[in-house]
Amino acid sequence: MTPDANTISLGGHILAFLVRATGEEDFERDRLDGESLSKKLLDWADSAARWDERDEVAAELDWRAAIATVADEVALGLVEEPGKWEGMLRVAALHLRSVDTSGHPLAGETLKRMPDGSELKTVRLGLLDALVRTLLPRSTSARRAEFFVTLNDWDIWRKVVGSLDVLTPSVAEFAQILSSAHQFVGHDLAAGSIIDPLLEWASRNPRVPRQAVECWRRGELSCQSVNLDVVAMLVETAVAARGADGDILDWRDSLIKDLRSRSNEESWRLAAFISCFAWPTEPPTSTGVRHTALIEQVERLPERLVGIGLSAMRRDAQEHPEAALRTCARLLAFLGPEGSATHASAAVGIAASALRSDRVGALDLELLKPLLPTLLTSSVEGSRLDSFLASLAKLDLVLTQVFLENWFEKNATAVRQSGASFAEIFSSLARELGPEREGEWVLRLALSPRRTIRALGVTLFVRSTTVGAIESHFDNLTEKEAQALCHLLAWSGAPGANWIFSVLKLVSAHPSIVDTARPILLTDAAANFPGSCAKAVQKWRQANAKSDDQNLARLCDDLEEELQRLDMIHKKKFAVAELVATRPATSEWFRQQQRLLDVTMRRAHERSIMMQLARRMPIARGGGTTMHSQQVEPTELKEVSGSMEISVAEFVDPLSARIVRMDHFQRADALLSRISEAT
Amino acid sequence: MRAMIDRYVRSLKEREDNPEKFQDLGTLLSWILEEHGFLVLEKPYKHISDSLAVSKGRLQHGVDVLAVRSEEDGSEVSYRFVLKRGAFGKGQFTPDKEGSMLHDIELAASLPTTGREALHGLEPASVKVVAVHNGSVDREQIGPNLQTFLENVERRYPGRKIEWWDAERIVDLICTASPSGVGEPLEVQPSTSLFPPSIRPFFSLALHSLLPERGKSGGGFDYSAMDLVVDERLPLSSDEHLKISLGELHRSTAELALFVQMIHAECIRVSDGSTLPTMDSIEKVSCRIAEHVRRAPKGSPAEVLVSLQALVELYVDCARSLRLRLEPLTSEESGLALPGPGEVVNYPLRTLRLLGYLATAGLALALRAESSKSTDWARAKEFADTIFKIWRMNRGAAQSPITDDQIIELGLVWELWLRLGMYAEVGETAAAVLQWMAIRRVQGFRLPSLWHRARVPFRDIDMMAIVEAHFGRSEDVSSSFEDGASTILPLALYLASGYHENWTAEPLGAFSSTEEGRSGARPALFAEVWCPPADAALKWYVSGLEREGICRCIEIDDVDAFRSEFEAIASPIGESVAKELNIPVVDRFAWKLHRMPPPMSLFVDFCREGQP
Repeated sequence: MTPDANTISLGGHILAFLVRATGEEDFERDRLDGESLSKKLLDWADSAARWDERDEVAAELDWRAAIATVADEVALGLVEEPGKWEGMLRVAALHLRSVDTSGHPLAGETLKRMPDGSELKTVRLGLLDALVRTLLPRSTSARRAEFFVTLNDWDIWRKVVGSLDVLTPSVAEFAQILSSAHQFVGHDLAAGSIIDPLLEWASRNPRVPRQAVECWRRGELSCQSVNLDVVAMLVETAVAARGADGDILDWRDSLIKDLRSRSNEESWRLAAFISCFAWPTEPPTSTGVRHTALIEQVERLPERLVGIGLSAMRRDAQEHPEAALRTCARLLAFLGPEGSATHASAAVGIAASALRSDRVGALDLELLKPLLPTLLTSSVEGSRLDSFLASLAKLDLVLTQVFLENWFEKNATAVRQSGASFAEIFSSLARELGPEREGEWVLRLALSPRRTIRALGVTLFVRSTTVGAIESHFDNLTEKEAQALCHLLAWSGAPGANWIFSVLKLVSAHPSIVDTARPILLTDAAANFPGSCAKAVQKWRQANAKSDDQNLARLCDDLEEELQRLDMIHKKKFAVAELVATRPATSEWFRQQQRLLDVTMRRAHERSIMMQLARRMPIARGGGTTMHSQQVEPTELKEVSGSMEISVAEFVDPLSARIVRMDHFQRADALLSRISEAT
Repeated sequence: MRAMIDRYVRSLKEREDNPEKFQDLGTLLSWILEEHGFLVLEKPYKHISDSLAVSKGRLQHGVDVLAVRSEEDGSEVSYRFVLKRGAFGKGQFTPDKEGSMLHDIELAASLPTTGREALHGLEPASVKVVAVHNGSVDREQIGPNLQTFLENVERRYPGRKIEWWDAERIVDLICTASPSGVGEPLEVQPSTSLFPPSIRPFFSLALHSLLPERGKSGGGFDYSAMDLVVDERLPLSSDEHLKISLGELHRSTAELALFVQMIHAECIRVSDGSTLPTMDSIEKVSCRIAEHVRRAPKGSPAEVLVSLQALVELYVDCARSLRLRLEPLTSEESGLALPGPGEVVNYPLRTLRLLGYLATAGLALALRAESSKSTDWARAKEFADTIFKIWRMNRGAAQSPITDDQIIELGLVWELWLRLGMYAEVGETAAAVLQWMAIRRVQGFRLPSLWHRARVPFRDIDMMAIVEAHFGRSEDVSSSFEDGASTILPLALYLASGYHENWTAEPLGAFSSTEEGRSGARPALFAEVWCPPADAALKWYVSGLEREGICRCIEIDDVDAFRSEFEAIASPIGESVAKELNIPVVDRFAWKLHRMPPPMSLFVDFCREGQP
């Protein structure tokens, strides 16, 4: 089909639109113009396709060719200015992507219901793809290089790697594209959508990766930013594509030898990686052979190379879980218990991947045992411990629970300082366990015979957002355990709202412990958390309106009486002028508190993704706000505030409060020790 | 109030050279007359611009003040006042002596109305001559003679009535005056208009600061205004030889005492009855009086001593009110704590401050009882018992001083108990202070700040550093906060090891240095004893002797050796003026006011006397 005058005119319009839209930002105008041009382009392509007169395949070919013709004209206008390509392609992707219409043969399945009741479907114009496929080949490699180095758009990158067949890059250019693409995707999970097509193209052109590596070895690549990961990909692709060709293996070995002879650690790491993964795929090379080759490389300098070995195993863990676990254990053994701790996060990643692999049902959990000491040293942040435990829990709950207890013991301080609940630390595991079992586990931690675990368990108890699930297991406790738990909750130092009702529930489940609970409620709880006490009693009364539990009813009565007495004392105190007038530190303390709150708020804003995404506009004053150009009702401003009841004793006399709390812990300790001795 | 007014009235001269600044009988009488509806026609002073100046050279004919008032029946009566200073007894019964009271009365009665009232355009229905003097009449000796003399004068000058206003009558008139304009007498609603114009702003500043809008329950009391008042009335010259006259000392002492009484009344009226501004003011005023007495030539007027004793009595009364108010809270755990921000610092500061007042009042009684009244023992014991009850229920505060200079309050409490023979209480609480300091140190809490002072009011910059230190445990606290040494530690150790039956040295381990551990190395806590200079008693009414004396570090590992060394360095100091005056509690006021630790010899003397 030959473009006529209309075609040229449409291409020219589109080019002019792209130039204007990238020069002056006016989204609303560009949207409207884009819609109009898209419709014209669709009409033009439809007129070329003549859908009614021909079969659909031939018509579609002409339809796409018509789009390509327009794209070609646009490309002609752009070819000299690679610095503007990305901007214009983005505009095309945004405003000239599709047209909503009805009854078009190329329309997608998704229906759009319009305000007037009509239903439209989207026709994708494919202009971006056509533009990339015409623009790149028309340009010179130097201009393309300029474009690739700065290209920062996932859509355009996908179109670029999809156009390699028409581009047919040279060895150097391919290396450059791969390098730029690798730099752009980084460690993004979607990296494969760009890197894989590149490598797939390379495997179809096996001389390209090998020659690229050679150029790299000789320092001839124009792009010096080609990093070792890219080289590894190239070597891997070259070796895999050549099958069992003896020459390619010799070439690989000579490369490894060359890398090993270099006096730089990066090269040794590359050598180790290549030795594991640069193997022919047809016939497949056994993991045993590959891992042995890897271990030989790592053995040369384990302190530096175990990390790369573990990275390799992380990649293999999904496909070859057992071999990866075995090799992982061998690699960690090079470093001993202390040295391996620094690689705990990598080891957790391998274990997690192995457990999540398809053949997980057949995985021998004995293989995990050598790794456990290292896994225990892993922190939650930056590792896949949660994912590992969630997978492990599917296979062996007992092993998971034992591991978890030991992990908590080792990481008690960090967990306590994090302020997080069990479900926040291990969200996947908590989902896997379900609230009931999570509650049971937290309760078991809280009553652990080991003090550190117990202390942390109580902390997790009072932080739990599903306390009801924990409380549902109170019936299973022995009397001594229930008594100990009362003391431990009083020891916890948590806001009363988090534990006072649980003490009432404990008394409800074990009426015999009322003498233990009474002083805790009437002294510790009532004096320190009067508000929470009142609410707990109210909640209990509402939930047990028809209960005939006289024991607990009397306790609640006593508690209310004590609260009234304390309220009276409180009023008496404020009637003594000499007490009220002697608070010299109040305003300075308040100032310090305010400063701390400000700092905390600022840090929270810095961490908040929402605050980072949203544009922040301070409002001077008033009860509402609106933008100057909008004739709409102003947005009403509302205050958001929260409060919590903090222990009075902590505010007044923290040392005495600590001594009282320690006394509770010791009482719990004595009770639980008796249980341990008995069992 | 009445007694204070009485003393003030009696302290005044007949005439001062500077009535703007100093009250005299004439200016006071003018005030009384105006408050009671008189129109004063001739005053003993004149106005120059806004100020008052002495009025001299006028032909008086015995009449110092001329006033007129419409009586209840509507008639206009002229009052001719004859003023004389002091008491009226046999020595003053000298009708023939020119310038004497009786001579002037006759002279005033003899004057025709044309010669006086007519000058002001008045034709009064009757004339009264009023003899005014700021002392008492010795009626026992001269009562009948005086009566006869006055009757004779009335007879000799028909139409003249003679009235006699002695000090008691003047005090009555002052007490029933209502300067507030709302009908409240001066006793209920104090007014600074009673005082001379130049001092009124200072007095007003202090009184108005008690209003609730300046701070709840007297919390906004302006101590600096009180300092200004004291400096204005009893200024201190750096040259000790520049002394104020004894008469001025007498008048200023009485005036300040009356003003303190007014503060007390105002506290009752507008500050929920807070006793603290009064007691703090008494401490300030008493120390300044004591310093002036020290500087004065031997034989200060007995009236000064009486005012000082009255102030101490008022202090004891206030402390008693405080004790009674705190009594219901003594059975409550942390009864003196108020929930709120900063209570970690407020609570110990408050508790020890209040205990300090109670102990000082108890000591005032106990020290007095040692020399005279035995009934004061029982009153002192009431204070001592209340203090122990408060301590027992507020251990966390009483045993956690915020500043090291709270050794003063602790020392006063222990001194009171020692004087009353409550040795077990001394041993128990001293051991508890040691124990608590040890726990605080081990648990990473702050110990008493060495360089900050628990003044009233606390200095803002000091409070900032203290709050920073107690707020978090961050290391970025002010460099002015230092808790690496303590003077409380050796005193508590000395008393605990001396008076606690089952004392063990176990807590002392916490005060030695530790190796680098999980929470880092901990340096040793130095025990220090401050030895004041030998002449400290000559200086402590005006300063805390911050830069004087010697601070001695003392080893505490071996308790016996420690006790010997403590006793050796706690040398006695010279006698104080307050002790000479037999009001030794004023020395305790000085320690509190200027934040000077009590001499350790005080405690050593008790131990050496073989107790328990």
